[in-house]
Amino acid sequence: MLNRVDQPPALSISGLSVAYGDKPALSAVNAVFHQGRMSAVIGPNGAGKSTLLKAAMGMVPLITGKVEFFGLPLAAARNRVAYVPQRASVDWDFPASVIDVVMMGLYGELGPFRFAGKKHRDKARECLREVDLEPLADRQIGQLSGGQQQRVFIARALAQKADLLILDEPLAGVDAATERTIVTLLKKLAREGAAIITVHHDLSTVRDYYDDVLIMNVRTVANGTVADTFTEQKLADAYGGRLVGAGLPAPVPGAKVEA
Amino acid sequence: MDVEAFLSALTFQAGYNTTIVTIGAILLGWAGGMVGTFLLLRRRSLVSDALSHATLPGVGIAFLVMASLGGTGRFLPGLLLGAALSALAGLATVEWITRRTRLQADAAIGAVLSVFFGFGIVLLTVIQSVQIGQQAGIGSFLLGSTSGMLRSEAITLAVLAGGTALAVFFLRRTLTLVAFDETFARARGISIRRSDLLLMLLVLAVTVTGLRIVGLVLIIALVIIPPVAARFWTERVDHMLLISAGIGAVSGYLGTALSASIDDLPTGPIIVLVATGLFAVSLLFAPVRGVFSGLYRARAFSWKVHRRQGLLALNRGEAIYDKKTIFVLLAEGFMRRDGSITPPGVVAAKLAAEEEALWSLYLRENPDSLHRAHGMLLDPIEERLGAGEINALRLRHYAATRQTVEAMA
Amino acid sequence: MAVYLGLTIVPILIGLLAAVAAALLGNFLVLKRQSLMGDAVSHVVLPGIIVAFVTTGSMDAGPMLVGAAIAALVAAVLIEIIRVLGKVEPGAAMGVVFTALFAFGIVLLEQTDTGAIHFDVEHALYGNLESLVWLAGLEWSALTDPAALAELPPQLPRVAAALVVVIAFFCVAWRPLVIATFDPVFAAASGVPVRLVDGALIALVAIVAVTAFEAVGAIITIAMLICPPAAARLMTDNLVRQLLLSVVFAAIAASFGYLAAGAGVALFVSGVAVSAAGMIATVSGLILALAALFGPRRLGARA
Repeated sequence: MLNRVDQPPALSISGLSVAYGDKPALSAVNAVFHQGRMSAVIGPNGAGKSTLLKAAMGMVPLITGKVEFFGLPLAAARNRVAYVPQRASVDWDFPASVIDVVMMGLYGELGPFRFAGKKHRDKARECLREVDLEPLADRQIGQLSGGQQQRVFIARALAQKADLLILDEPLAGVDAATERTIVTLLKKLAREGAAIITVHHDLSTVRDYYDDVLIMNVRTVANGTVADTFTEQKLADAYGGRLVGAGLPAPVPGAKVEA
Repeated sequence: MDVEAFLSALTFQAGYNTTIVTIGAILLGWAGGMVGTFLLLRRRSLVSDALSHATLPGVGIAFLVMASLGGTGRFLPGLLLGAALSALAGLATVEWITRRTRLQADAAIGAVLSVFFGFGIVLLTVIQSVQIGQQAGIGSFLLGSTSGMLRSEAITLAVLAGGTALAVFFLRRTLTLVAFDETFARARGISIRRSDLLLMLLVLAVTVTGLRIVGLVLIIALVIIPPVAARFWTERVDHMLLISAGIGAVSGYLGTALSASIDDLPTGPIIVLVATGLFAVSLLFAPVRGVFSGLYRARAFSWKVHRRQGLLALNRGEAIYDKKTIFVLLAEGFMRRDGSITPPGVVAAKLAAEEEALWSLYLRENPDSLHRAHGMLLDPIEERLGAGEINALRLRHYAATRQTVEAMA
Repeated sequence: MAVYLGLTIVPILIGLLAAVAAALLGNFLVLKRQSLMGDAVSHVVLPGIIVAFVTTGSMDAGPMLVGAAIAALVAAVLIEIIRVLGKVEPGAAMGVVFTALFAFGIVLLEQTDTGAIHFDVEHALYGNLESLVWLAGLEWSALTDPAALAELPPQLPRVAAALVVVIAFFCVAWRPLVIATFDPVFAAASGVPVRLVDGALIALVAIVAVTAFEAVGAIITIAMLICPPAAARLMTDNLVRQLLLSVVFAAIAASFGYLAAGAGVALFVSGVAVSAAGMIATVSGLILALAALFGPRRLGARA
């Protein structure tokens, strides 16, 4: 594959099994995600995509399996990892302004007790500028559109200055402009060396947005570069009859979104 | 405890009043269990908490009105009517707050229950200090009491409980439909709002009837505990209704009998404790969703996962680090303490690898089956698939493997 | 004038400190949509206290506090077990646990020799704030007289200490608390000890509930945990402002409620004694009603 023997993968998962009671959610999943790459996690509904990422972050108990971030256990690498939950998982009517939420990303840096000074506020503003939201810094978060809320979450992840961004469906229910902004930004981060892992739903954009892909359905179906892995056959293995006849868009090399 | 009194209460021979109250408590428990099931399925269990606490000002106002009109103030149907009206006001307030403000149901319920109750307490203290009417019995609305109940009161309550149980019985189809599938019910032309309102009126009926017997602090237990307990025994709504109603009825029956036979035992808490006992048994021991059966299934499943993963690793000649996996392989006799594989381990590992290959192929061909038949991938393949299916899989597996070999060569 | 010091100001102060402590914590319960956790905890304080009394045989504040805090944590764990293992919605799980424990507490209370216990169930529900007077403090000079100060109702220093503990908790754990309240998933991923923060919040609610319970009864605790924060929630979108407003509302409810109970009603019917606790809850309800009708942010994001 790629010549990345010099640096450990950003996230490597081996033999990961998770169950809710006696219902398997993940069965011996193997996956590797590299630094400097945009990776998509795809699979049908209920395939365990979000569970995989939560399990990797230690939020779901494992039956068995090993997870390493940059060759280290989670505890040693936590500050290098930023996790972006699904937008719908929080109450957006919460009494907080946009900048308050972005400042939460500085928890790793500030710890529980240290005061946040002007320096930190400036940092948060800078992250907001990256997602084109600086003018809304003092707006109450409930007044934002869905796309803007998603960008606030991304800005909070940026504030973490992480080498690995794990995003759970960042493009779900956002407008086209936001999707463009987010993808452009993530691609830029990947170019600068960060690893991006995204749960993704829209199969028609996988080729345009991502370098690598993990196709899964409770088990790993395939994991590798988009060129090698994102094939009709592998998708049919994961999605079954649901994709038959729907067909996949042909790869159009010229149509990539450029950062 | 007086065993004789307990037995005579159980067999309805402890006097006319006790018998009527016991029958009333059984009917009340039955109705509460059924109504509570719908409430739980509609995810509104705690609305009953607001409802019951909101009865208190009504009781106080009704007492004051009746006393000032020259009555005793203690006339039970009047007090219950007051209770029902103020509970309705409380319910409307909860609705209004959740619809018209940003506050969520939890805050609305909490605010209504504490403020209405607080105001009710204010009225009670007024009644106590102005010395009007016969106040005895007002306090018993807090915790319920069946001692010293008048015969007419006992009959009123039994009739109310019976009426409520009957009403739930007739309305059960509509309520089930709404609780089970809101969209479908709406498509059938059922008004969700009206159905929910009916449900609330039934909860109100149970609450008001139960005030005097169980008391307003604990009456909600009769609509919350039985359905939650029933949930552990079944996945089906109709069964849940019956089990829940049964648990409620048994709690009412045993609870009233117990409190009739032990001095100083208020009826309400005893009924609730009997229900709690049945709940605890359900939580721990119910085979369908109980804690122990769940733990057992989760452990058995985890064992199978470790067994399979361990055998696959042995077959690939990989070292095993997972402590639990090592434990399982040692216990099954597939591995020695030094990490070397035993003869049965060699065979089991080969078998596991072959089964895994066949299952993988099966899954690739039937990705949809994964969620329908959870866990079957860890079972022996011949227990899950027919001989013909296995043979066909095996043939395709051979062909695919041969192709791979040729491609590699 | 000085008579008011001991007969009015001291009870008001006790009610006010308890109300403010509860209101501060309540902000986070309301934001977590767990207001009814306050309801549940306030109810399980009763069995906690009674078990503490039965096992230690003493009515000291120490064992009572410990018993109540343990009961609250046991209740929280039970609720979690029922919710997770039984896959029951949190509201129903709460309802099961607190009614069961409350019923247990009452039966225990009735079956124990209650001669030594100064409270009964009515007292537990709505306390007796009016009796917490400072009879040694009928002169202003009492404020500097150590002997008179020693006669202060012991509930006063206790609720004050509870308030100090709550404020200290907010100072120390503010950032983790806010992050865990807004976005528990992100918080867990970022290494915030979410469970610890949640547990501490519940334990504090229990501590405030038990100190308040002893002075003013369970019903005020529930009203103060929920009404002032809920009203403040309808006034502003700024968390700190919301907290401060809830404190103001709690203070208004406590003082006006007490005065209304004592003096106001006497205007209509002389000789009528009215429960101060009930009146305080009623005033807090009126404040919430005003906020719900006119609060500038009553509609929130729905606007």
